[in-house]
Amino acid sequence: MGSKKYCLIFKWIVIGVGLIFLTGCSTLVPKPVPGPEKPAGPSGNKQSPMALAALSFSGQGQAYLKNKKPDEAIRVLERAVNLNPGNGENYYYLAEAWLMKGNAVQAKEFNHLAEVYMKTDPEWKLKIEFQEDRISKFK
Amino acid sequence: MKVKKKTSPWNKKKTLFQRLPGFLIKAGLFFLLITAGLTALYLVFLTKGMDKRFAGRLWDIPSKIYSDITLLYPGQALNPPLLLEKLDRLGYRPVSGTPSRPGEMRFSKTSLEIYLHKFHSPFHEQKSVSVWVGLKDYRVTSITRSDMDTKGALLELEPEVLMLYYGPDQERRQLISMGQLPQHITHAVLAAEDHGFYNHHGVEIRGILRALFTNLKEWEISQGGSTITQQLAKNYFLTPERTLSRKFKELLITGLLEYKFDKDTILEMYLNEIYFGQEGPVSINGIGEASRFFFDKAASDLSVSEAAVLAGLIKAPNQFSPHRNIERCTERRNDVLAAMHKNGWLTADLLQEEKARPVKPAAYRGYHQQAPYFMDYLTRQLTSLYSRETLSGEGLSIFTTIDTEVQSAAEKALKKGLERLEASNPALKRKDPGESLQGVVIVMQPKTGYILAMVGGRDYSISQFNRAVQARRQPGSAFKPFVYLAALDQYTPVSMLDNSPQTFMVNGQPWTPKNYYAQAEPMISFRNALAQSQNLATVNLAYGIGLDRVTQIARAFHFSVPDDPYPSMALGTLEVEPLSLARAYCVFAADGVLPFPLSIREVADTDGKTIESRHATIERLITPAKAYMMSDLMQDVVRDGTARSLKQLGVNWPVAGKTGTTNDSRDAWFVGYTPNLVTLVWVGFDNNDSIKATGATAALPIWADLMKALPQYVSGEWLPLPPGIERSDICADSGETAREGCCPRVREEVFLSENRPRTLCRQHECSSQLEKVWNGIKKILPNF
Repeated sequence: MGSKKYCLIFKWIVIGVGLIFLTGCSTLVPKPVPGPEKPAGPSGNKQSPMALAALSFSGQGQAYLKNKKPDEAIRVLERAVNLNPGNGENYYYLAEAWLMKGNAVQAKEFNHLAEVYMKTDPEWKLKIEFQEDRISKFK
Repeated sequence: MKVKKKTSPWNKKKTLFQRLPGFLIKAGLFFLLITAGLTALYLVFLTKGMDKRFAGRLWDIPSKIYSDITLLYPGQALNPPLLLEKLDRLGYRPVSGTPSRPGEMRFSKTSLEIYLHKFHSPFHEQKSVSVWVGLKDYRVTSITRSDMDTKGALLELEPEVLMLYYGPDQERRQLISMGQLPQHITHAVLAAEDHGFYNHHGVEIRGILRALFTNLKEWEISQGGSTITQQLAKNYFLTPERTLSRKFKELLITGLLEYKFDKDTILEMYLNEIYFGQEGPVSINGIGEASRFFFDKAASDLSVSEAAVLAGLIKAPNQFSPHRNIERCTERRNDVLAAMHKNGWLTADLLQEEKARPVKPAAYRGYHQQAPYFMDYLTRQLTSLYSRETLSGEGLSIFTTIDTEVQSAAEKALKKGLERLEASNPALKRKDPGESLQGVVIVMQPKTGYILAMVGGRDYSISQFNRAVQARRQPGSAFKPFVYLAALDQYTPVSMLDNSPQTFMVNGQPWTPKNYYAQAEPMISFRNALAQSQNLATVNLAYGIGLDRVTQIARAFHFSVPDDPYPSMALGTLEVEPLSLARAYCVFAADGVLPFPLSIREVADTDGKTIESRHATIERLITPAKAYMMSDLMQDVVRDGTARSLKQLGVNWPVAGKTGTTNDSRDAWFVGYTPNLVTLVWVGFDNNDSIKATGATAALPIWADLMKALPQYVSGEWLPLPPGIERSDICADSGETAREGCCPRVREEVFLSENRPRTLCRQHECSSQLEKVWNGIKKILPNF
């Protein structure tokens, strides 16, 4: 009985040592999960129906901005935000619209929200930083 | 020589009899001169009055308050009863066949077919087209519009009219211009009322003589014989009594109208002025409003037959109303059609064709005021922007944030919830309805501050006191999240709090707070203290961080806080308006930004041009990381804490929230939220009587009923992890960072990056690497 037990322990020691070598000795302190998560965006994973519906308003908002119609853009972008508060692009465009209206305070608030959601996307990060710079220079 | 003076026959002294005709002529001339003078003066007076009237607004047009539009999109879950009620309020009538006319719809388990009304607003242009909405298990599968080849992604249903601001005349009117009207409408009206309108000068002698003859015969003024200009003069400028003096004035004004305006202008004024009937206490005036009311279409879209119906109504609106007597209405319409034919405005073929058409009026649609408490709240804002005269006269269109489906569901959930409470505890019933159990429901969108629903009481007809914005109540434990928020710089979710009974000295007086359940743990984690709403731990926490810090946070959230803070404030003994509390919770759901509560989106003038736009405005109060932390903590309130009954009530999607109950159960609260909705429910008596129930038993079931009725607002998604938050495995026993393989009970916890615990668990230290591996394997294969 006793030798059987020692045999089992030995067997597991071998397995354990092997596992340690295979895994390369894991660290004692677990690494925290870095945030934020990948933002929900058009290129993200499967989206909810609400998020998909929001894209339609988001597109309309961008078109209004191109035509220099900030009030109209804000109106539809707010609808997009209400449908999908997780899409950071809408905050970026809202910041653009407020900037177009000359309201740097609101532009800054929405720029900050865009940053919260889009910071991990290198392309968007640059755009957001550039927008922040434009807002700070706005008088 | 005396010359005899010749006397002319004229110089002869006339007798009185001889002088009488001359005197009479002179007197007559004098009288005529005076009368002409007075008439001229009166005409000048009338002209001035008329100029003054025409210089300003011609008619008072009540402003309309609209709800927000309603969206339908593929994948959206529907609540069919709510949607059908909404379609009914919008004037869509169910038909058995395929909808073929605006305002018709057909609903089945597999589809909603709808022929849209035409609608125009500054932000919504809706064509009158048919739309097919595919449904499966009451979820939208596809949307196909007849005017688009491809399947449209979205359907926007026009906003609902919630209320009209009437002036003292209580008239409803939509203005039209002659350019908008097809000729058959004017022909129908002329045929019915005054076929010689374009040929006379305001007065038709034959008509007057005919009327005079009839009136003399009957010895009373019973027949008018008025032309369109006379009718306009009478209706627009004079009172309705039938006297000779009024007839005289009418003739003078008629002359002036004909002198000052061309025929088309007079006809246009007439068509906008004329009375078409009554809808409750409100009169329907003008062909524009009548077209909408009787046929649910714009005047420009009226068919010949429909135009003839409306023209026929002018003579006796209530007698010939298609809503009252369709046979009599059809007879009258046929008379008008015949008169059109007689005047050469309708061919014989068309006459027969139009006469053969049945009269099909739109369903009688009364405008009932909806969301009355919200309307009061809105009116207070509107009257700070516009005068009451402007609101009741200038025909503004005011577009609001209200979603009538949410509003309707909120009203129903509150009513049902209060009745359920009274049924479960008859002691809550009151004989006087004015003293009955009350409630509040507020639904907001956290990122924009849109108010989707506001119910300020149980029954507006009994009590108009809007508790949502006028009541100041203690929030009780619903205030605790703000205390815990204030402590986030110093404490983490795993920090242990003293939860044992203590006596505090407040202004020299002892104060011994108690937990709701006496047998609470003496030490409790920060997370569990909030989840279980522990009073003692919360008071200790407030003392730990300092009451000034709590006050500072409360002020930042726009709560009214006394200058001298007191410890019971941590337990929610300060007073708040429910709307302020709902707004404050938005911060947690909206990454730390506080939105301004938005109720007005747009104000447009009668031409549909925007004169006022309101947008969401936000103010950053806390970091997104702290907002996320609070949401994560409050998810535990729902998962394992005081609101855990939500799951049993069928709420099985991610929700955060907090219950609240005040001393002696005077107030019961539940504020719950998802990333796209914040909903607050309050239950209590106005006189502070105890409701003998808690937030979890009184307010929470109402919240659950409401949210389950709104599947279109449930995305099932949760807030994304913002920057500044770290997840870490911790030892459930020590609350310190777990030693992998050593700590027997490990769970994941979220921390602000700056105060994540760095210390490894000191309770569970593995003696060797081997033990760690052994424990790891045991964990993976527990039965091995």
